[in-house]
Amino acid sequence: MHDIMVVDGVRVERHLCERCAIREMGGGGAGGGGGGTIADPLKAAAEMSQQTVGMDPTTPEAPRALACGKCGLTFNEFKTDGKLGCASCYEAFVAQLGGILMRAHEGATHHAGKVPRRVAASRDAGAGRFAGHRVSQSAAEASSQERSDEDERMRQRAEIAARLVTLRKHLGEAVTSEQYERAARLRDEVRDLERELRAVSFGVERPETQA
Amino acid sequence: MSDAGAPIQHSAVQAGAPWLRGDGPDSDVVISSRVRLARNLAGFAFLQRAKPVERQGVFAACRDHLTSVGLAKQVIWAEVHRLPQIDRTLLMERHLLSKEHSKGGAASGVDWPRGLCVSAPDERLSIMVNEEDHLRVQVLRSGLALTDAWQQIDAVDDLIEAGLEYAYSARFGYLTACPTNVGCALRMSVMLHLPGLRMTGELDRVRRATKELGLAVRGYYGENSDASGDFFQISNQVTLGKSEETIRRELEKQILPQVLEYERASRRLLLEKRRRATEDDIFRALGLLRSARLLAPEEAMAQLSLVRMGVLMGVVQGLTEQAVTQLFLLVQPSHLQRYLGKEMDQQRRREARADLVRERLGGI
Ligand SMILES: [Zn+2]
Ligand SMILES: [Zn+2]
Repeated sequence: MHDIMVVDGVRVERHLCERCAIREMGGGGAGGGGGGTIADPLKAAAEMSQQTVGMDPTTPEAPRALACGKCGLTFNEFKTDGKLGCASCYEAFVAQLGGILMRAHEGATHHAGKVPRRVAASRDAGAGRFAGHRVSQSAAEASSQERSDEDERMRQRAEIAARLVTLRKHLGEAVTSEQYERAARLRDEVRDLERELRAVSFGVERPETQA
Repeated sequence: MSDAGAPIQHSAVQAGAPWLRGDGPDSDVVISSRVRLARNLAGFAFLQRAKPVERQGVFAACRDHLTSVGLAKQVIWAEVHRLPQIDRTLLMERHLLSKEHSKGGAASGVDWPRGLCVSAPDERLSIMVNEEDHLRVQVLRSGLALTDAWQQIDAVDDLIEAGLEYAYSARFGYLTACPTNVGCALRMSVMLHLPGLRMTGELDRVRRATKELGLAVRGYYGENSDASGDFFQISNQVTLGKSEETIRRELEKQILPQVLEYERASRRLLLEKRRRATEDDIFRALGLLRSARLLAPEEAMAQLSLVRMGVLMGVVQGLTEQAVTQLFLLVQPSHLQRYLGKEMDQQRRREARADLVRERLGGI
């Protein structure tokens, strides 16, 4: 399995992890991660700005001269201002970026949204079928909500939100201490709880709409 | 193409910004909705690392494509790095330009070509070229209209991509200069007017609840502004691992209905239980605006906020909500100067602001 990364207008192929492979084979639902997790990106962002990104303990020790082969940005330069130099930097620093991304994005590791038309098209051509990644915009979602049990729902929401805060804290700690298996478990728990939160908000759980 | 031009005409300044028209859904509480995408072109280093020739290349490629692909009935292209300062500030006040994009690198002596593409005359769509990312695409709508805004920006994004290849990876999504934006690289935000919650002392609770849901809370002026007045911007933080639809739904369905309901309940409560005191606050604000001879922007905003609530509550008669909301923009420094057609120092602006507000609100 190979991943396609558009760099310099050239499609660069590279090895794919299992999850990406499943996604690429059209298992959009499985790998979509669309349920999302609720973590505390504010906290993560605050942590990122307090200790500069590079001091992030989850970041594997970068070789002294680690640099992007394309634009020449060194990982140390990235650490000082948090900005990458080019698309290839994501590949060059992939090991170091993992923890940083998880922190900033509630433990997420993979994209789950729109796919550029030309990427989707080339994938369709390769696979000979419709790619299911495009997010459908069902405008049909009812805009008005039943307000009757609102107080009770707010109470439940507050309770769940409080549990989420604790869980997210543990998730952050797990990531920080590089206990990735534990982090994955916690992430699932967070996700379940978030589903619960949605259920309380909507009354029923609505499935992700995928075209 | 060589003329940087004046992207916003005098008539547009007088008319106020379309997103401040107050005619969108839930506009009693939601002033505006905003959706922003970050995109970079494949084959070019991100802006900060790009050489001058690359920056020029991105600029030219984007200019040629954006002005010809039919993003809107009419689009205006402005060369931001060549605009007079007052026009840049004007565009910032209209939320069409970021502070960073306005400044560029002029201070350090190394400026670079920056573009702005705006749909005219509605100004709903704006695209910054050579900002932190090569493209920052934004759609602004009046009221709560995130779905409409998303649909427009999604279509615009497809049109842009038809001529410009994006830097994208299957794993990380749309690649951005800052890893905090990577993924769908989407920021959705709503600007809320919450005077009722402030007056009933419930604002902190709402702010906390919003943050608990992983959303960012900011002030009227965005990024680095303090959410201390009656205006709040709420936006998503996470862009990786969530679909655009999930982000929209979390914002629109999980938090906004509650905030809207709380604000409305607060306004009702103020009328039912503290009518005299509330009317006193509102009419003092109106009296101040109708009488002041000197007005600073912050003071004007604080008082206008109360008057807007008064109009919406039916407490203040004879003024339209639109007339009041328009003033939010006209009291800003560059709008004031453009409106009156002359440059003024701070002291003169305070005088002119007071005169304008008195004139608009039937002052004495
Ligand atoms: Zn993968
Ligand atoms: Zn690079």
